Amino acid sequence: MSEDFKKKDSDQKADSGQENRPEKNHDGRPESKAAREVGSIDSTIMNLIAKKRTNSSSGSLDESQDHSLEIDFGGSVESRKHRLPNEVLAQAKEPTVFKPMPMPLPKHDLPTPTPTPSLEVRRPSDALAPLADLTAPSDLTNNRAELKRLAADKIQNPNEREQFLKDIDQFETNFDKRSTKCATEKLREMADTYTQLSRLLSADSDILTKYSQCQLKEGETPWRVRVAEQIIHQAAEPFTISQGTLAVCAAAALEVREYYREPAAVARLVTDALLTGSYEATAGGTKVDLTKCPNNLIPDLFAMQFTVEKEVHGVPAHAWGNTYAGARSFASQLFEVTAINLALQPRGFRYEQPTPKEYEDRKNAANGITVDIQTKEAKPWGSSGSRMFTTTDIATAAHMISGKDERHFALAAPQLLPSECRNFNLRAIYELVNRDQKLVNVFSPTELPLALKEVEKFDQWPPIVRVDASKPPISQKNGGSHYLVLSAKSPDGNQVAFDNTWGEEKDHIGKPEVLTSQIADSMFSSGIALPSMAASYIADASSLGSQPKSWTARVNEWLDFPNKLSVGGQQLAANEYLRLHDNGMINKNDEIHKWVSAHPEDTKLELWNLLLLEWRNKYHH
Amino acid sequence: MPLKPPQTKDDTPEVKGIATLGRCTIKAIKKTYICLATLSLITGQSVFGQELDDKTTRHRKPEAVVSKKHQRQVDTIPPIPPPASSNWSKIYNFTELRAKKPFEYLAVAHMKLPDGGWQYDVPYTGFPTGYSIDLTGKKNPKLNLRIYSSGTYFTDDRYFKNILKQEPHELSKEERESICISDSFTNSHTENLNGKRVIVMTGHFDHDNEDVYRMEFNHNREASNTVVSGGIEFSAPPAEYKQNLEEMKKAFKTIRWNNVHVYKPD
Repeated sequence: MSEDFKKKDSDQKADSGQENRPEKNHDGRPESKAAREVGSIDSTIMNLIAKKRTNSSSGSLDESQDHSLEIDFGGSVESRKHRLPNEVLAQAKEPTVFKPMPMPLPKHDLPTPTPTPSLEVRRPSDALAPLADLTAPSDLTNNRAELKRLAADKIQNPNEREQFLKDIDQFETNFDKRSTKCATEKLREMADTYTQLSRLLSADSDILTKYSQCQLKEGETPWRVRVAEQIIHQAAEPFTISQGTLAVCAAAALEVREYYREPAAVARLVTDALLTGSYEATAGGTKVDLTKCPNNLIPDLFAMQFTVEKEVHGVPAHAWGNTYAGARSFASQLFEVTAINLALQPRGFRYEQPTPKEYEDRKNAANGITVDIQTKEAKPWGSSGSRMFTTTDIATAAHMISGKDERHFALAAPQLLPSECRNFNLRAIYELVNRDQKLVNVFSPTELPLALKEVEKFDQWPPIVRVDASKPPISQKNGGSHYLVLSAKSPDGNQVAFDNTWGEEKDHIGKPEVLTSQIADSMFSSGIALPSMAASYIADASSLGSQPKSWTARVNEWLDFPNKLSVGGQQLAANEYLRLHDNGMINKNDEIHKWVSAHPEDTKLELWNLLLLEWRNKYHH
Repeated sequence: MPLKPPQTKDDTPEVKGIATLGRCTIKAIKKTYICLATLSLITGQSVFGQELDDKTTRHRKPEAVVSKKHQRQVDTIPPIPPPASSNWSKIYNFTELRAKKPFEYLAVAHMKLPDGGWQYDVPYTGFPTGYSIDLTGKKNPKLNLRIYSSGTYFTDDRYFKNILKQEPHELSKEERESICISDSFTNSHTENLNGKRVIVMTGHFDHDNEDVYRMEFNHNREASNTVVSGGIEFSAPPAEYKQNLEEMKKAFKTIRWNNVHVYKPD
């Protein structure tokens, strides 16, 4: 809330003297509960209309930001200003009406684990808000007030407290600008983010109390408070996130994107990790127990040094006699180790950060290991095989964390040679076979602008791209594969801006001025190209070309498969299919069997159907 | 693009079942089907009673009916290949090191590597700061040779410069601490190697159970005032280390330095 509003707030309190009295309607009579509910519904509907108008009228968005973030107002922008006293009253009664909500986000508040059909995902930014979430405005008001109260109580250092409050304001302003969610969803997202931060600030202990290395001296800011400060700062300014010295750019890029889009889900992940030492994914139920490797939980030497204040003022970290710009925060450490292990754990591996001793011995070249959970065999992080965090893993982890459909933001050059990419049938087969990889395949550098439009169309901005860092626009000598978050694009898609998690000085955010063709060439660099898989697909591509009707029939058969297995109109669960198959009750169908084995969460074969439909629509078969 | 409904008209089992009938008959049946479906929606009860019963019966005996249908599918359409592997494997083979593409930034212009061949398995993602090229013996993968740079400035480079400008000597405790030499290194001294002053450290890494021989130096040319630390390190389990150290030292003696300002922090 701006200073002006605060002043008006106090003036209003002084004038009315009604801080703890029931809210009155315009006639001066106390409102009944029913009347308030009706008023609330009315206000929400009016707000939706107002929001729609605000979005369509030029220059009015900034003016309305503070208001619209606080509470839903009715009417035009002008009438919102007239409604300000209501907002002030709401603020005034905060301490008496607020009920702390220390629990994690209930699952039913989040979308179902199975990906949302694309039709639902494609929601324009100015869409009317769903009317179901009528409490979002008041929840935001209450949660913010509680968070501020806790900040005043728990953040002892005045500079830190001031920064925290500043970051709250900045978060609301920036999130409102950057998010494409509808008005109510934005309010809900911010309210839920505050719920998690309040959990951190109100907790009496955390998992780090178990570890002697994490004991703090008298007067030092507790880890829970530091992490709360870091979360709100990173939610306010996602492009300040740095990966530090470790080769975890894929996870760091994902972190930037999730803070940008889903700060409440990120806040829950980090809060759960710190308070309990474990995190259960929003979708799929994978549970990562970070206590299995305490080194992942204990702040590393950069996280030990990191403070929001240092980040804001660009103060570098120091280690091993060297100076390092762009140190990684502890909140980022927790996010990244958790996100990586969400992807690796189902494959039987665990990522482990370097130990303090490894850091001491190898300095910035210390990079951690991937351990086989069964055999304990360790290999350096980044080794080949299933031990790394790939582009597909970025999209998978995003889905697991947010619980939402995340299939249209990770842009990838396919595992085909440029000449092979020109074969339409090969492309079609490639996309059919890899339809569950959650990637947007860009088949040639010239297709990148179109792919960016697709990301936007599916409301999945910002995209993440894998580039060769030795090529422009990064042009780092030692180069190698690296991930960038594209922060903005020009309307024609020919220029972009990007965030580089190597540090803010490496960013090109703001106005899109980097040629998209540079990014595209870097994506297709032979230095990072994955081996071609064309040999596996060429026969099917040829068959698709010569017998398109049989392929249409084949895909239709697959689409019909769930119906064939329905009993009395009820679909057979996928695991039931596996049982039938294993008992030899139905003949083997490789495709569906592979699918059910690989996607046990797709119990109703909805994702199976959705992806096949998307493929059929795209290739017109 | 809006999604199409899951079933097209032609996919309906009823239409499939009578595919041999004439077009007019199909249209007539379709019309009837639509009318009955509408009636079903209005009344809330199925008017396809018999058919639903049939379906139910079919699923009570999945082995009989479903098998037949899918047998036909398997017969006519082979399974499609597995998804593209996300495995990333880009391996360079070396018999010698040369500062040329893609490693033109190395401090070593040339070095003859010990016999047996060496390979570099490029990591999936690059290093944000400096570089670390980890070679392993092709014949004996337990042998490791690492060429690296911190890629960043010293907070205070006076200590490093001071150690290197002195005549070759054993490092004192203060000197070791001033440049953050790990306790894992039990010996440290400076020496000249083909025109460059290097700090040699030997020790043991408990976490990897490897003995280590490391040389650190100014990655830039000897006279450069801009100090960026670089290094070459040989490590292996104790038995292999002992067996191969002399060979590796001989290889180090073949180093020709890249005597230019080759690397600096961005």
